[in-house]
Amino acid sequence: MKNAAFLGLVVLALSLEGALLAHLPLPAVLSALFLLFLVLERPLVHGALLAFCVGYLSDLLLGTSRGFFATVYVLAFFLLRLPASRVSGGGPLFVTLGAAFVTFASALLGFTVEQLAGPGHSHLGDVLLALPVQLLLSVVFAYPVFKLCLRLDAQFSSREDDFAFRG
Amino acid sequence: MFEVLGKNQTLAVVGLVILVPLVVYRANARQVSDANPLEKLVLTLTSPIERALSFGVGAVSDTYAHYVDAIGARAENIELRQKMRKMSVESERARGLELENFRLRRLLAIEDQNPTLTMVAAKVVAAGRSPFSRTVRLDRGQLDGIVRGAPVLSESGLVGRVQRVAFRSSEVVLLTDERVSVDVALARSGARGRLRGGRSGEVFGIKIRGLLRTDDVRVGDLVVTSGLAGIFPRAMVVGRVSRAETNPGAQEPQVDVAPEVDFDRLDDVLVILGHKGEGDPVFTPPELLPPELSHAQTSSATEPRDGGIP
Repeated sequence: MKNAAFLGLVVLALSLEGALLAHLPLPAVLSALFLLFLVLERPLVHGALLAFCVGYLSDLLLGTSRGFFATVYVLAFFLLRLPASRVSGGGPLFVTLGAAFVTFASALLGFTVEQLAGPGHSHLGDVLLALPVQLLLSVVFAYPVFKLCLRLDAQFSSREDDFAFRG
Repeated sequence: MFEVLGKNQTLAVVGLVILVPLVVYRANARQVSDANPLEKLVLTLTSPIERALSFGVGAVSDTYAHYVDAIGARAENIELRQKMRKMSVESERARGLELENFRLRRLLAIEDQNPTLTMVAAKVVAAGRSPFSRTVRLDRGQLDGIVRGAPVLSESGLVGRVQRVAFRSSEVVLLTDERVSVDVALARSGARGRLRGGRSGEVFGIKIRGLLRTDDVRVGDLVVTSGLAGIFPRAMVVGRVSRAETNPGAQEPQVDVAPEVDFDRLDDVLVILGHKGEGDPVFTPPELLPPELSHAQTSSATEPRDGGIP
Protein backbone atom coordinates (compact mmCIF):
# COMPACT_ATOMS: atom_id res chain seq x y z
CA MET A 1 0.00 0.00 0.00
CA LYS A 2 2.74 2.42 0.93
CA ASN A 3 4.56 1.55 -2.28
CA ALA A 4 1.44 2.36 -4.29
CA ALA A 5 1.10 5.65 -2.40
CA PHE A 6 4.75 6.35 -3.10
CA LEU A 7 4.24 5.74 -6.82
CA GLY A 8 1.15 7.92 -6.73
CA LEU A 9 3.22 10.68 -5.20
CA VAL A 10 5.86 10.15 -7.88
CA VAL A 11 3.23 10.44 -10.63
CA LEU A 12 1.86 13.64 -9.09
CA ALA A 13 5.30 15.14 -8.53
CA LEU A 14 6.55 14.31 -11.99
CA SER A 15 3.36 15.72 -13.54
CA LEU A 16 3.86 18.91 -11.57
CA GLU A 17 7.50 19.01 -12.58
CA GLY A 18 6.55 18.51 -16.23
CA ALA A 19 4.00 21.33 -15.99
CA LEU A 20 6.60 23.59 -14.39
CA LEU A 21 9.32 22.73 -16.85
CA ALA A 22 7.00 23.73 -19.70
CA HIS A 23 7.38 27.30 -18.41
CA LEU A 24 10.87 27.26 -16.92
CA PRO A 25 14.09 26.31 -18.67
CA LEU A 26 15.27 24.02 -15.86
CA PRO A 27 16.34 20.36 -15.76
CA ALA A 28 14.22 17.66 -14.12
CA VAL A 29 15.54 16.55 -10.74
CA LEU A 30 12.62 15.17 -8.73
CA SER A 31 12.93 11.57 -9.92
CA ALA A 32 16.54 11.47 -8.68
CA LEU A 33 15.32 12.66 -5.28
CA PHE A 34 12.75 9.86 -5.15
CA LEU A 35 15.57 7.49 -6.03
CA LEU A 36 17.52 8.80 -3.06
CA PHE A 37 14.57 7.99 -0.82
CA LEU A 38 14.48 4.46 -2.18
CA VAL A 39 18.21 4.04 -1.71
CA LEU A 40 17.99 5.12 1.92
CA GLU A 41 14.64 3.74 2.98
CA ARG A 42 13.77 0.63 0.98
CA PRO A 43 15.16 -2.91 1.05
CA LEU A 44 17.14 -4.15 -1.94
CA VAL A 45 14.55 -5.92 -4.05
CA HIS A 46 11.66 -3.62 -3.25
CA GLY A 47 13.87 -0.65 -3.81
CA ALA A 48 15.14 -1.94 -7.14
CA LEU A 49 11.61 -2.62 -8.37
CA LEU A 50 10.45 0.80 -7.25
CA ALA A 51 13.54 2.41 -8.84
CA PHE A 52 12.53 0.72 -12.05
CA CYS A 53 8.99 2.07 -11.68
CA VAL A 54 10.22 5.59 -10.90
CA GLY A 55 12.53 5.42 -13.90
CA TYR A 56 9.81 4.11 -16.14
CA LEU A 57 7.38 6.80 -14.99
CA SER A 58 10.09 9.37 -15.65
CA ASP A 59 10.50 8.01 -19.15
CA LEU A 60 6.76 8.26 -19.68
CA LEU A 61 6.20 11.69 -18.20
CA LEU A 62 9.46 13.39 -19.22
CA GLY A 63 9.44 12.01 -22.74
CA THR A 64 12.74 10.10 -22.81
CA SER A 65 13.14 6.78 -24.63
CA ARG A 66 11.31 4.01 -22.83
CA GLY A 67 13.63 2.20 -20.48
CA PHE A 68 16.32 4.89 -20.33
CA PHE A 69 15.66 6.29 -16.86
CA ALA A 70 14.44 2.87 -15.79
CA THR A 71 17.85 1.41 -16.59
CA VAL A 72 19.74 4.35 -15.16
CA TYR A 73 17.82 4.40 -11.88
CA VAL A 74 18.02 0.66 -11.36
CA LEU A 75 21.76 0.75 -11.95
CA ALA A 76 22.11 3.82 -9.75
CA PHE A 77 20.06 2.15 -7.06
CA PHE A 78 22.30 -0.91 -6.96
CA LEU A 79 25.41 1.22 -7.20
CA LEU A 80 24.42 3.46 -4.28
CA ARG A 81 22.64 0.86 -2.17
CA LEU A 82 25.86 -0.70 -0.93
CA PRO A 83 27.52 2.47 0.39
CA ALA A 84 24.15 3.69 1.65
CA SER A 85 23.68 0.53 3.72
CA ARG A 86 26.94 1.25 5.55
CA VAL A 87 26.01 4.76 6.61
CA SER A 88 23.04 5.89 8.55
CA GLY A 89 21.39 9.26 8.87
CA GLY A 90 18.39 11.25 7.88
CA GLY A 91 19.31 14.80 8.78
CA PRO A 92 19.13 17.66 6.30
CA LEU A 93 22.87 17.68 5.62
CA PHE A 94 23.01 13.93 5.08
CA VAL A 95 20.02 13.97 2.73
CA THR A 96 21.30 17.01 0.87
CA LEU A 97 24.70 15.47 0.32
CA GLY A 98 23.06 12.20 -0.68
CA ALA A 99 20.87 14.02 -3.20
CA ALA A 100 23.90 15.69 -4.73
CA PHE A 101 25.64 12.35 -4.97
CA VAL A 102 22.60 10.60 -6.50
CA THR A 103 22.13 13.41 -9.02
CA PHE A 104 25.78 13.29 -9.99
CA ALA A 105 25.82 9.51 -10.26
CA SER A 106 22.56 9.46 -12.25
CA ALA A 107 23.91 11.99 -14.72
CA LEU A 108 27.12 10.04 -15.31
CA LEU A 109 25.27 6.75 -15.48
CA GLY A 110 22.79 8.26 -17.89
CA PHE A 111 25.62 9.35 -20.15
CA THR A 112 27.22 5.90 -19.94
CA VAL A 113 23.96 4.06 -20.67
CA GLU A 114 23.19 6.36 -23.58
CA GLN A 115 26.66 5.80 -25.02
CA LEU A 116 26.68 2.04 -24.55
CA ALA A 117 23.08 1.04 -25.12
CA GLY A 118 21.59 4.07 -26.87
CA PRO A 119 22.35 6.01 -30.03
CA GLY A 120 25.41 7.66 -28.41
CA HIS A 121 24.53 11.15 -29.50
CA SER A 122 25.12 12.83 -26.17
CA HIS A 123 28.31 14.67 -25.21
CA LEU A 124 29.91 14.56 -21.81
CA GLY A 125 30.44 18.35 -21.99
CA ASP A 126 26.69 18.93 -22.29
CA VAL A 127 26.00 16.61 -19.38
CA LEU A 128 28.59 18.34 -17.20
CA LEU A 129 27.33 21.75 -18.26
CA ALA A 130 23.80 20.95 -17.10
CA LEU A 131 25.05 19.36 -13.88
CA PRO A 132 25.55 22.49 -11.71
CA VAL A 133 21.91 23.56 -12.08
CA GLN A 134 20.73 19.99 -11.48
CA LEU A 135 22.89 19.78 -8.37
CA LEU A 136 21.64 23.12 -7.12
CA LEU A 137 17.99 22.16 -7.57
CA SER A 138 18.58 18.75 -6.01
CA VAL A 139 20.23 20.31 -2.99
CA VAL A 140 17.36 22.77 -2.59
CA PHE A 141 14.52 20.25 -2.91
CA ALA A 142 16.16 17.15 -1.45
CA TYR A 143 15.16 17.44 2.16
CA PRO A 144 11.53 18.58 1.59
CA VAL A 145 10.95 15.72 -0.86
CA PHE A 146 12.61 13.24 1.46
CA LYS A 147 10.50 14.39 4.42
CA LEU A 148 7.35 14.21 2.31
CA CYS A 149 8.14 10.63 1.34
CA LEU A 150 8.87 9.73 4.95
CA ARG A 151 5.59 11.26 6.10
CA LEU A 152 3.68 9.38 3.42
CA ASP A 153 5.45 6.19 4.43
CA ALA A 154 4.57 6.76 8.07
CA GLN A 155 0.97 7.50 7.18
CA PHE A 156 0.49 4.33 5.17
CA SER A 157 2.56 2.14 7.48
CA SER A 158 0.24 2.99 10.38
CA ARG A 159 -2.79 2.18 8.24
CA GLU A 160 -1.24 -1.13 7.23
CA ASP A 161 -0.68 -1.84 10.94
CA ASP A 162 -4.33 -1.02 11.57
CA PHE A 163 -5.45 -3.40 8.85
CA ALA A 164 -3.13 -6.09 10.18
CA PHE A 165 -4.56 -5.63 13.70
CA ARG A 166 -8.11 -5.84 12.41
CA GLY A 167 -7.28 -8.83 10.24
CA MET B 1 19.01 -25.04 0.38
CA PHE B 2 16.29 -22.42 0.94
CA GLU B 3 18.93 -19.87 1.70
CA VAL B 4 20.68 -20.64 -1.59
CA LEU B 5 17.33 -20.50 -3.37
CA GLY B 6 16.55 -17.22 -1.65
CA LYS B 7 19.89 -15.78 -2.72
CA ASN B 8 19.38 -17.03 -6.23
CA GLN B 9 15.90 -15.57 -6.31
CA THR B 10 17.27 -12.24 -5.23
CA LEU B 11 19.98 -12.40 -7.84
CA ALA B 12 17.42 -13.36 -10.43
CA VAL B 13 15.21 -10.43 -9.49
CA VAL B 14 18.19 -8.07 -9.56
CA GLY B 15 19.25 -9.42 -12.92
CA LEU B 16 15.75 -9.07 -14.29
CA VAL B 17 15.33 -5.60 -12.90
CA ILE B 18 18.52 -4.57 -14.67
CA LEU B 19 17.94 -6.50 -17.88
CA VAL B 20 14.31 -5.64 -18.55
CA PRO B 21 14.73 -1.88 -18.70
CA LEU B 22 17.96 -2.26 -20.61
CA VAL B 23 16.25 -4.39 -23.22
CA VAL B 24 13.32 -2.00 -23.35
CA TYR B 25 15.71 0.88 -23.78
CA ARG B 26 17.71 -0.91 -26.46
CA ALA B 27 14.48 -1.54 -28.31
CA ASN B 28 13.22 2.01 -27.97
CA ALA B 29 16.44 3.99 -28.20
CA ARG B 30 16.71 3.96 -31.97
CA GLN B 31 13.10 3.53 -32.95
CA VAL B 32 10.36 5.01 -30.84
CA SER B 33 7.47 2.61 -30.45
CA ASP B 34 3.88 3.48 -29.76
CA ALA B 35 2.65 3.47 -26.17
CA ASN B 36 1.58 0.09 -24.87
CA PRO B 37 -1.74 -0.31 -22.98
CA LEU B 38 -0.09 0.16 -19.59
CA GLU B 39 1.66 3.34 -20.73
CA LYS B 40 -1.59 4.55 -22.27
CA LEU B 41 -3.34 3.95 -18.98
CA VAL B 42 -0.72 5.85 -17.02
CA LEU B 43 -0.73 8.71 -19.51
CA THR B 44 -4.52 8.82 -19.54
CA LEU B 45 -4.58 8.96 -15.77
CA THR B 46 -1.91 11.64 -15.55
CA SER B 47 -3.24 13.73 -18.42
CA PRO B 48 -6.00 15.55 -16.42
CA ILE B 49 -3.59 16.07 -13.55
CA GLU B 50 -1.00 17.54 -15.91
CA ARG B 51 -3.65 19.70 -17.56
CA ALA B 52 -4.85 21.06 -14.24
CA LEU B 53 -1.32 21.64 -13.00
CA SER B 54 -0.31 23.21 -16.28
CA PHE B 55 -3.28 25.56 -16.05
CA GLY B 56 -2.29 26.59 -12.51
CA VAL B 57 1.39 26.87 -13.34
CA GLY B 58 0.53 28.72 -16.55
CA ALA B 59 -1.58 31.22 -14.62
CA VAL B 60 1.23 31.78 -12.12
CA SER B 61 3.76 31.92 -14.92
CA ASP B 62 1.64 34.44 -16.86
CA THR B 63 1.24 36.58 -13.76
CA TYR B 64 4.96 36.40 -13.19
CA ALA B 65 5.62 37.20 -16.85
CA HIS B 66 3.33 40.23 -16.60
CA TYR B 67 5.11 41.28 -13.45
CA VAL B 68 8.49 40.90 -15.15
CA ASP B 69 7.14 42.80 -18.16
CA ALA B 70 5.95 45.58 -15.85
CA ILE B 71 9.36 45.70 -14.20
CA GLY B 72 10.96 45.68 -17.65
CA ALA B 73 8.64 48.44 -18.82
CA ARG B 74 9.54 50.51 -15.77
CA ALA B 75 13.26 50.00 -16.38
CA GLU B 76 12.73 50.80 -20.05
CA ASN B 77 10.77 53.88 -19.07
CA ILE B 78 13.62 55.07 -16.85
CA GLU B 79 16.11 54.35 -19.60
CA LEU B 80 14.02 56.24 -22.17
CA ARG B 81 13.68 59.19 -19.80
CA GLN B 82 17.45 59.25 -19.35
CA LYS B 83 17.91 59.05 -23.11
CA MET B 84 15.42 61.87 -23.58
CA ARG B 85 17.23 64.02 -21.02
CA LYS B 86 20.54 63.28 -22.70
CA MET B 87 19.10 64.09 -26.11
CA SER B 88 17.65 67.29 -24.72
CA VAL B 89 21.08 68.30 -23.42
CA GLU B 90 22.61 67.37 -26.75
CA SER B 91 19.93 69.31 -28.55
CA GLU B 92 20.63 72.37 -26.40
CA ARG B 93 24.33 71.94 -27.07
CA ALA B 94 23.67 71.67 -30.80
CA ARG B 95 21.50 74.77 -30.60
CA GLY B 96 24.32 76.57 -28.78
CA LEU B 97 26.80 75.46 -31.42
CA GLU B 98 24.43 76.56 -34.14
CA LEU B 99 24.10 80.00 -32.58
CA GLU B 100 27.85 80.24 -32.11
CA ASN B 101 28.32 79.20 -35.70
CA PHE B 102 25.85 81.85 -36.81
CA ARG B 103 27.62 84.51 -34.75
CA LEU B 104 31.04 83.54 -36.05
CA ARG B 105 29.79 83.48 -39.64
CA ARG B 106 28.41 86.95 -39.25
CA LEU B 107 31.65 88.19 -37.72
CA LEU B 108 33.57 86.53 -40.52
CA ALA B 109 31.30 88.17 -43.06
CA ILE B 110 32.04 91.56 -41.51
CA GLU B 111 35.75 90.88 -41.78
CA ASP B 112 35.44 89.59 -45.35
CA GLN B 113 33.43 92.56 -46.51
CA ASN B 114 35.79 95.11 -45.01
CA PRO B 115 39.26 94.47 -46.36
CA THR B 116 40.20 98.08 -45.56
CA LEU B 117 39.55 97.54 -41.85
CA THR B 118 42.17 96.00 -39.62
CA MET B 119 40.32 93.84 -37.14
CA VAL B 120 41.13 91.19 -34.62
CA ALA B 121 38.71 88.64 -33.29
CA ALA B 122 38.56 88.21 -29.55
CA LYS B 123 36.64 86.22 -27.03
CA VAL B 124 34.96 87.60 -23.96
CA VAL B 125 36.55 85.83 -21.02
CA ALA B 126 35.14 87.78 -18.09
CA ALA B 127 32.59 90.39 -17.22
CA GLY B 128 32.92 93.11 -14.65
CA ARG B 129 29.51 93.84 -13.30
CA SER B 130 29.86 96.35 -10.51
CA PRO B 131 27.14 98.81 -9.53
CA PHE B 132 29.21 101.51 -11.15
CA SER B 133 30.42 100.09 -14.38
CA ARG B 134 29.70 97.69 -17.18
CA THR B 135 32.79 96.13 -18.66
CA VAL B 136 33.96 92.89 -20.19
CA ARG B 137 37.43 91.43 -20.49
CA LEU B 138 38.76 90.11 -23.81
CA ASP B 139 41.42 87.47 -24.36
CA ARG B 140 43.39 89.72 -26.71
CA GLY B 141 45.64 92.60 -25.72
CA GLN B 142 48.54 94.81 -26.66
CA LEU B 143 50.54 91.96 -28.21
CA ASP B 144 47.61 91.34 -30.58
CA GLY B 145 47.61 94.97 -31.68
CA ILE B 146 44.73 96.21 -29.56
CA VAL B 147 44.98 99.84 -28.52
CA ARG B 148 43.05 101.91 -26.05
CA GLY B 149 39.85 103.41 -27.50
CA ALA B 150 39.43 100.78 -30.21
CA PRO B 151 35.78 100.14 -31.07
CA VAL B 152 34.46 96.71 -30.32
CA LEU B 153 31.53 95.16 -32.15
CA SER B 154 29.68 91.89 -32.13
CA GLU B 155 27.63 90.29 -34.86
CA SER B 156 24.61 92.25 -33.66
CA GLY B 157 26.16 95.67 -33.46
CA LEU B 158 28.32 98.01 -31.45
CA VAL B 159 29.50 96.73 -28.08
CA GLY B 160 31.68 99.51 -26.71
CA ARG B 161 35.30 100.55 -26.72
CA VAL B 162 38.54 99.35 -25.26
CA GLN B 163 39.28 101.07 -22.00
CA ARG B 164 42.40 99.34 -20.71
CA VAL B 165 44.92 97.21 -22.51
CA ALA B 166 47.23 94.61 -21.02
CA PHE B 167 49.68 92.41 -22.91
CA ARG B 168 47.32 89.54 -23.42
CA SER B 169 43.98 90.96 -22.42
CA SER B 170 41.97 94.10 -22.64
CA GLU B 171 39.00 95.65 -20.92
CA VAL B 172 36.04 96.92 -22.88
CA VAL B 173 33.64 99.42 -21.48
CA LEU B 174 30.15 98.66 -22.74
CA LEU B 175 27.67 101.06 -24.28
CA THR B 176 25.51 100.79 -21.18
CA ASP B 177 28.31 102.26 -19.02
CA GLU B 178 27.83 105.95 -18.34
CA ARG B 179 31.45 106.66 -19.24
CA VAL B 180 30.76 105.89 -22.90
CA SER B 181 29.61 108.55 -25.30
CA VAL B 182 28.96 107.83 -28.97
CA ASP B 183 27.76 110.09 -31.79
CA VAL B 184 24.70 108.43 -33.28
CA ALA B 185 22.01 109.06 -35.84
CA LEU B 186 18.54 107.72 -36.45
CA ALA B 187 18.60 105.71 -39.65
CA ARG B 188 15.07 106.70 -40.71
CA SER B 189 15.13 110.46 -40.12
CA GLY B 190 18.83 111.19 -39.93
CA ALA B 191 18.43 113.04 -36.63
CA ARG B 192 21.69 113.15 -34.68
CA GLY B 193 22.53 113.02 -31.03
CA ARG B 194 24.93 111.65 -28.46
CA LEU B 195 24.36 108.29 -27.00
CA ARG B 196 25.13 107.95 -23.27
CA GLY B 197 25.03 104.91 -21.09
CA GLY B 198 23.66 105.18 -17.62
CA ARG B 199 21.74 103.67 -14.83
CA SER B 200 18.09 104.08 -14.16
CA GLY B 201 17.71 102.52 -10.74
CA GLU B 202 19.07 98.99 -10.96
CA VAL B 203 18.94 98.84 -14.74
CA PHE B 204 21.74 99.94 -17.03
CA GLY B 205 20.40 101.48 -20.19
CA ILE B 206 21.20 103.84 -23.07
CA LYS B 207 19.78 107.25 -23.79
CA ILE B 208 20.20 109.68 -26.66
CA ARG B 209 20.96 113.25 -25.70
CA GLY B 210 21.23 116.30 -27.90
CA LEU B 211 18.30 115.67 -30.19
CA LEU B 212 16.19 118.64 -31.14
CA ARG B 213 12.59 119.02 -30.06
CA THR B 214 11.65 119.15 -33.70
CA ASP B 215 13.50 115.97 -34.65
CA ASP B 216 11.38 113.12 -35.96
CA VAL B 217 11.87 110.35 -33.43
CA ARG B 218 9.65 107.28 -33.24
CA VAL B 219 9.71 104.17 -31.16
CA GLY B 220 11.39 101.40 -33.16
CA ASP B 221 13.71 103.73 -35.09
CA LEU B 222 17.09 102.16 -35.78
CA VAL B 223 20.01 103.93 -34.11
CA VAL B 224 23.42 103.75 -35.80
CA THR B 225 26.78 105.42 -35.31
CA SER B 226 27.14 108.66 -37.19
CA GLY B 227 30.94 108.48 -37.39
CA LEU B 228 31.23 112.20 -36.66
CA ALA B 229 33.73 112.05 -33.82
CA GLY B 230 36.00 109.79 -35.82
CA ILE B 231 36.21 107.26 -33.04
CA PHE B 232 33.56 104.83 -34.22
CA PRO B 233 33.13 104.05 -37.88
CA ARG B 234 29.89 105.17 -39.45
CA ALA B 235 26.69 103.07 -39.72
CA MET B 236 27.37 100.57 -36.98
CA VAL B 237 24.10 99.32 -35.52
CA VAL B 238 23.57 100.40 -31.93
CA GLY B 239 19.95 99.61 -31.16
CA ARG B 240 16.37 100.75 -31.54
CA VAL B 241 14.42 103.55 -29.94
CA SER B 242 12.40 102.02 -27.13
CA ARG B 243 10.91 105.22 -25.68
CA ALA B 244 10.50 108.70 -27.18
CA GLU B 245 8.78 111.39 -25.13
CA THR B 246 8.84 115.12 -25.34
CA ASN B 247 7.86 116.83 -22.12
CA PRO B 248 6.10 120.17 -22.43
CA GLY B 249 8.63 122.97 -22.08
CA ALA B 250 11.64 120.64 -22.50
CA GLN B 251 14.23 121.53 -25.12
CA GLU B 252 14.94 117.98 -26.17
CA PRO B 253 12.97 114.73 -26.25
CA GLN B 254 13.65 111.88 -23.78
CA VAL B 255 14.80 109.01 -25.94
CA ASP B 256 15.72 105.56 -24.61
CA VAL B 257 17.46 103.02 -26.78
CA ALA B 258 17.24 99.24 -26.51
CA PRO B 259 20.66 97.95 -27.60
CA GLU B 260 20.80 95.32 -30.34
CA VAL B 261 23.62 93.59 -28.54
CA ASP B 262 22.71 91.32 -25.66
CA PHE B 263 25.44 92.39 -23.25
CA ASP B 264 24.71 89.50 -20.91
CA ARG B 265 25.51 86.95 -23.60
CA LEU B 266 28.56 88.38 -25.27
CA ASP B 267 30.95 85.76 -26.54
CA ASP B 268 32.87 86.51 -29.73
CA VAL B 269 33.67 90.09 -30.75
CA LEU B 270 35.73 91.99 -33.26
CA VAL B 271 38.08 94.78 -32.23
CA ILE B 272 38.66 97.36 -34.93
CA LEU B 273 42.30 98.30 -34.97
CA GLY B 274 42.33 100.72 -37.88
CA HIS B 275 40.79 101.83 -41.14
CA LYS B 276 42.87 102.19 -44.27
CA GLY B 277 41.27 103.38 -47.45
CA GLU B 278 38.26 105.38 -48.46
CA GLY B 279 34.56 104.87 -48.06
CA ASP B 280 32.57 103.50 -45.18
CA PRO B 281 33.11 100.03 -43.95
CA VAL B 282 30.24 97.59 -44.13
CA PHE B 283 29.63 96.17 -40.70
CA THR B 284 26.77 93.91 -41.34
CA PRO B 285 26.19 91.81 -44.46
CA PRO B 286 23.42 93.43 -46.51
CA GLU B 287 21.24 90.34 -46.35
CA LEU B 288 21.30 90.48 -42.57
CA LEU B 289 20.66 94.18 -42.24
CA PRO B 290 17.28 95.74 -41.52
CA PRO B 291 15.77 97.11 -44.75
CA GLU B 292 16.15 100.75 -43.81
CA LEU B 293 19.83 100.40 -42.99
CA SER B 294 20.92 98.20 -45.87
CA HIS B 295 19.98 101.03 -48.18
CA ALA B 296 21.84 103.59 -46.09
CA GLN B 297 24.95 101.48 -45.59
CA THR B 298 25.56 100.83 -49.23
CA SER B 299 25.42 104.51 -50.11
CA SER B 300 28.40 106.83 -49.91
CA ALA B 301 29.05 108.89 -46.79
CA THR B 302 29.57 112.01 -48.82
CA GLU B 303 26.17 111.82 -50.49
CA PRO B 304 23.53 112.44 -47.89
CA ARG B 305 20.04 111.49 -48.91
CA ASP B 306 16.75 112.88 -47.83
CA GLY B 307 15.67 111.34 -44.60
CA GLY B 308 18.74 109.09 -44.48
CA ILE B 309 22.04 109.20 -42.75
CA PRO B 310 24.00 112.23 -43.77
